[in-house]
Amino acid sequence: MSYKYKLLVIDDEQAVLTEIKQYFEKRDFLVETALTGEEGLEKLRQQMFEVVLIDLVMPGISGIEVIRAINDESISVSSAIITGHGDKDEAIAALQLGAEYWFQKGTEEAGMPNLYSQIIKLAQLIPEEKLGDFMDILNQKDVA
Amino acid sequence: MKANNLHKNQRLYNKVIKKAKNKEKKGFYKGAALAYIDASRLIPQTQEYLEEKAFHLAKAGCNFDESGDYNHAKKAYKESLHIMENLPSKNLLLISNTLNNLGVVLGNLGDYDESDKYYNQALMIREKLLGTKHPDTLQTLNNLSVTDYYKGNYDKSISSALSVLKEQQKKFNGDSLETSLTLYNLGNTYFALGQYKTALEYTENSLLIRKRLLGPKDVLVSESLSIKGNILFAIGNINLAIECQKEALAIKENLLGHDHPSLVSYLNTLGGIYQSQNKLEESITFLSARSFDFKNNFNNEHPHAAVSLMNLGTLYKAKNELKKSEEYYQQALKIQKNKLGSDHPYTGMLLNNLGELAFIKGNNNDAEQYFASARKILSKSLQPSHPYNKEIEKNYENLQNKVAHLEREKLEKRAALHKSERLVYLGQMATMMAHNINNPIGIIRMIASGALGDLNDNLFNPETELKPLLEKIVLQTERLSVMMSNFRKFSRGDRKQLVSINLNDLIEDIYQLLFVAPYQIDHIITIKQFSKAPPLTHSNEFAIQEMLISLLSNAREAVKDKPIKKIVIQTWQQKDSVGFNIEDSGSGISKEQLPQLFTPFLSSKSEGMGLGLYFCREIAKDLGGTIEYYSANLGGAGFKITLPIEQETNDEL
Repeated sequence: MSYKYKLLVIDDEQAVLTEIKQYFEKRDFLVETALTGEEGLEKLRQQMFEVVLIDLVMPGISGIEVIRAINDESISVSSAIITGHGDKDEAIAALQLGAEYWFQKGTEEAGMPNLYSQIIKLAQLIPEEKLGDFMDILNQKDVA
Repeated sequence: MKANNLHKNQRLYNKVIKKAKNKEKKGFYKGAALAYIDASRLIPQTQEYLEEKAFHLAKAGCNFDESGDYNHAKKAYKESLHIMENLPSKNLLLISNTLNNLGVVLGNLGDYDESDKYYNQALMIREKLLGTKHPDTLQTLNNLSVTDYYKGNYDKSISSALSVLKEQQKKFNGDSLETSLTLYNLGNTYFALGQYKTALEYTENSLLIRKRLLGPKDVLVSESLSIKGNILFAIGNINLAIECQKEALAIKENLLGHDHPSLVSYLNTLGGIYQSQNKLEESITFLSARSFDFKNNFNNEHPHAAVSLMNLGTLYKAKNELKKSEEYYQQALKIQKNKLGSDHPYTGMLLNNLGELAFIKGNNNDAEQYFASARKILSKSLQPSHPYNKEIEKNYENLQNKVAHLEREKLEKRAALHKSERLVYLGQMATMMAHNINNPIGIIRMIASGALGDLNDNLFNPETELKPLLEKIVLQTERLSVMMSNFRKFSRGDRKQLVSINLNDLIEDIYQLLFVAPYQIDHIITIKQFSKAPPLTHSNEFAIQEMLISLLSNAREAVKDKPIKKIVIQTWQQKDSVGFNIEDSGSGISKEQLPQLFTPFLSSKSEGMGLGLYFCREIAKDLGGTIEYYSANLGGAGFKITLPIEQETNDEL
């Protein structure tokens, strides 16, 4: 199966994972899921993803801690967060840590099409690290 | 018998007798009484002097009686009586005199039954020797009617007094001192009955006779005047009442000196009249200045001084100076108990007054004790129909009503508080519920909006995708409705119904319903250590839920801002109890806060009213259990809730 982008979804609610996976798989994404922060971090360390979508409130390692680990371990991925009602402070903390998009459950723009368009934008971003690799390749071509 | 029988102490004896007579004349009755006792002791213990000895003992009794020392009077009379009754040649008339006097003393002591006994003995002798219509016989009959008056048997008192009066009028043409005494007594009794018009008629008659026979300035005239003053006061003729009392007082003061004990009751009455006119200051000055002379003369011991003190107590009560009032009542009570004994009706009334004071102060327990003692005394010493008994019954009833009312108010207040506290819970629960409700709603939104997006992009295949989609939506709405019905059950749950409850299940349910999401948000680690054997209790699930919500919310507050956020929930089962513990890693309760931990309105939290732990304790109590605080291993607070274990029901057997 061919795909354009690779997405990781971390959420402790299986039903949420199922929905997102199904929706994005129809649209040129390869989707991996994780039910806990630990499981998600492990996948991030082993595989390359364009985007990781993280639920902030989870038992065990929280969403914020996942983002902190991504920063600390310099994992090259764009991150978006999902929050429920009333988790505004947590979301702001996450954005300050480097999350690029905040997807709030239960708001008007929270439909799947909107989520899709935002994730596509994030997936198309070329992270700084990748940009560096790209430049290296270009330079090598020039040399050759 | 005195002149020719010189015994060895004759000179000393003569001196003592002289001293006794002198003191008696000056109204120093106690001194006189003691002198007569001395005299009786100086007389040799031989047969020939015994009658004389008995005579002096009777005189001592008479003087003790006058001095208000009724107990010694009784003793002296009894000793005298004992001697006279054992003489070879009994002087029955002398005996009857002493019997009669002893009856009077016992009446003064408030021992009315004993008093009646001696009056009846005297009556028997007098009827036999003197006939039924002799003045002395009538005097004893009259005394019996006075006892009935004191006992509150007013009707009986009146009927016997009337028959005495009839005989006296026949004999003396209505003009003797004896008649005036009977008229005086009738006036007193009708006064006590509240029949003031009749009372006034009898009193006026006695007054007229006495004035005519004795002149306007006699002691007996003064006594009739005083009663007249009382009656006038009762019917509202205040000025005339004061005039009468003052005249009565002046006569006695003139004749007996300003410190004679019998003046005290006049002063008391005058004080009472001023008091009723709201001239409290005047009344107090009057009573304090005058009656305390007597108090000092009698070493604080005359029963009449007790009446003064009691009246002063009542005055200060009216002035709302309750502390002073109580002091005076207590002083009066001390004298009263000492002199008249604990069973005297006046002692009962004093206790009643002290009870009223405690009642006003709101010391209901004290009031109850005073009223109970007063009631015991009054019901024993006076007829149920006696005004004192009616008053104490009324007071007792008032107190009981007040206590019942307070109890009801307390319950109502508690219920109202509980209601408001539950509203706070419901508010907290609603906030916590919102987190849980958001999840299924978010999922439904995702399912629906995803399908919409698929339709727009022509990616939706109804044949394979529609059914699972609808099933997923139904599943999520079912999840929602379970939550809502649990919530509703809690908010409207019947608090009286008892069912079999497995604490493990109940705790898990409430935890899942309310605490999973908030705890996650705060990154609180919950450690559940549930008992393997199901901890079963026969109890009310909503009440236990309320305790859990309160304690789990407190625990959350306690750890929220701490570096380590841990909450332990344990359940356990023992031989005859089950329960659960909730511990946290917060700061715990300080030693200073500990004694007030379960006291309402002492919350350290900013929200709520500080009623949570108070109601936890009340609920635990209601469920037949307990709640205890302990210092948790995690460093914070620990609460242990103990409930009765479910008994195996043997109803069928």
